[in-house]
Amino acid sequence: MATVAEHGEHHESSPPKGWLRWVTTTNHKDIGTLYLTFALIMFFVGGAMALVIRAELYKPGLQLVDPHFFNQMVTLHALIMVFGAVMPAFAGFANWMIPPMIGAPDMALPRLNNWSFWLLPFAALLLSSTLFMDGGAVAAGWTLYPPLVLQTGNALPFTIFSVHLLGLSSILASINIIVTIFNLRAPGMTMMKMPMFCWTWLITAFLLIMVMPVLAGAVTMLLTDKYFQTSFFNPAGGGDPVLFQHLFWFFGHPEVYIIILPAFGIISHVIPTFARKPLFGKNSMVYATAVIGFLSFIVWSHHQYTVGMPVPAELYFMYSTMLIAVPTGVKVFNWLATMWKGSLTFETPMLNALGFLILFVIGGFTGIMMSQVPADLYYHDNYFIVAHFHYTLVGGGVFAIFAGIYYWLPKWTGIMYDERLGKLHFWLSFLGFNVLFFPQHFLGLAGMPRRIPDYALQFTEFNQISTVGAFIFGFAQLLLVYVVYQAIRGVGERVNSEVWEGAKSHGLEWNLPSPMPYHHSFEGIDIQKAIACE
Amino acid sequence: MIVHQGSKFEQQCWILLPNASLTCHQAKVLLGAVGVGMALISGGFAWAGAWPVLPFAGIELGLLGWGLSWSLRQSAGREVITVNPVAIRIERTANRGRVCYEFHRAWVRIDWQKPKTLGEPSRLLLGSHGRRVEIGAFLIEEEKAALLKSLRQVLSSSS
Repeated sequence: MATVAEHGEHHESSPPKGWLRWVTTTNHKDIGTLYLTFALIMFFVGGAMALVIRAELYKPGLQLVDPHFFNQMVTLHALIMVFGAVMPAFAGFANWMIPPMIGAPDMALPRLNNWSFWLLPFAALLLSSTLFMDGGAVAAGWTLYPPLVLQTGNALPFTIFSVHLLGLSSILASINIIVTIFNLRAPGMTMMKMPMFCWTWLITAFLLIMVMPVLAGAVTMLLTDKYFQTSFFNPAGGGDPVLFQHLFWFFGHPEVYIIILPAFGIISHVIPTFARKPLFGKNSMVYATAVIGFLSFIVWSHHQYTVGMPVPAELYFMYSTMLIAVPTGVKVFNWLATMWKGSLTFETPMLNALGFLILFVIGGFTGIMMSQVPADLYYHDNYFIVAHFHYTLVGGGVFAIFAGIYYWLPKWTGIMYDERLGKLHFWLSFLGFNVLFFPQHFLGLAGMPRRIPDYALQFTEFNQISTVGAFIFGFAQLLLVYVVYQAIRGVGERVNSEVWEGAKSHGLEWNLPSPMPYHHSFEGIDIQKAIACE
Repeated sequence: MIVHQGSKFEQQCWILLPNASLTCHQAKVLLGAVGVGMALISGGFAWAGAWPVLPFAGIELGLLGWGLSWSLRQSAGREVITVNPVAIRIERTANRGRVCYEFHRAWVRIDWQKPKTLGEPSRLLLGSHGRRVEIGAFLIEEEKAALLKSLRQVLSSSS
């Protein structure tokens, strides 16, 4: 009998072969892989820039680069790490894990998903190419404060355009995540049953769509001030440069939480699995995440204490900033309570989760120190700040990414990574990170300013220790690449669907085969029963 | 999701629905809440002189609205399978319109096509005389299996 098969709209064929598969894919797993690969490449690009900075700071005086290039490195390192490495890495996790976690076959807007990824490489290329333009790249720091940033040469419009593209990519990814979580949850997957990673990403997505228009507006005003004779930030024309600071930090402070909330989500999966206990106080974790998200909108001016605000405003921002410690404390204590009397084992994901916990708490404590207006007048713009935000964003964000990679890599590839090398990677990273950033607290307290390529002689020893740590941390990441590459090649022990002992009770994704099927994730699995088991 | 409406005037009916956890009303509430938040933020900055934030907020809200409505339209599709003593009728409603297929009950064959490659979904095909239609492509495997079983039961019973 001849067959005239009329395909349903939802049927997908096998993926195209070769590079075309990656350009045209609308599959959430492929796009997740693209995001993670892109993030890894940008992690090395941004990391190389950090090594240029640290190599220059190994000795006082100017050794390798001129001050202008040093500041270009500082600026691009931050922009690339924030927009090119950490945010895309979390978007990669979201793409891979949100559909299987909520029982959806794919993301809700698959073509948009493809587009939101493919904006990134072009934006990153454009941003990196500004280094070779007349006058060099932007050297005013990632905050792009006017009037300094308006002194940039030809690179300014290209930098602004790349920031727009990076922002657009984030917005599209956020819209996709919001629509997926709200519309594609499996029957029985109520909002409060949803895993923590989905919750933290949902709140992150809302933060992103709320603050991105502010950044887009702010950088567009820079552009019009420079090229169209407007005076948004020019006092000579009735504008105010401090307005830009308010705009930037209204975006910039939630941005910190945009980076850290998905990290909280990953850690909330890893710790229960390796403690062999359910997450302690899951509902309170959800509420704490929402409260952190809300508070992130109302504390932005704690970055501007030295600008000259009225005392009542400084008091308000000081107290509201201190308030963030409460929901954050709820999360930290819940993770500790999850581990309490658990059957703990210390595989690489758990080591990275514990590393995250230790480093993030240190960063959190220095954050409380800086929330105090009188103290911050001293800390402002010195290396104490640099140490603080690297403890939260690298110690918090990047170590959570490591934890997530080791945790889900066997699920993605069907192969158990090399545990020995994974642990070596963790210990070298943890050691390197602390050698790199801990001395910077002392440098800051002793008065060493940030964004300056030269320093007084008394800062030499701590700077040298810091540079040694930077190279240990940087080169340790080659181990991660090797471990991931081996798992992708299929070198290693095959794993079953559960991967980690008892993991099925910690998430729907562990019911799926390892590696997960390319299409329609939930073949032959009773989703309702699996949700009820969690 | 499959809704079986059972036997009525010697007619059996199944309604196949793709999964959708959001209603149109909830989508409007969500969009409204985000809109209020954005209006407060961008309005505040516009009041302070930074009016270029406003158009970006508007465009973004529009994009979110488009995303929600596209997803809702996608999940509004349905397939209604009706079996009466003479014929089996498949009525497919999607955002592109409505399509109907009808087959003579006595000649209808149902095929469960297993995936050719690992990870592909299996397909449930129904038809006769060289014409076949895939049904329930959006269902998960268990639902497809349940549908196959009940369709076979009904078709094998004497009409």
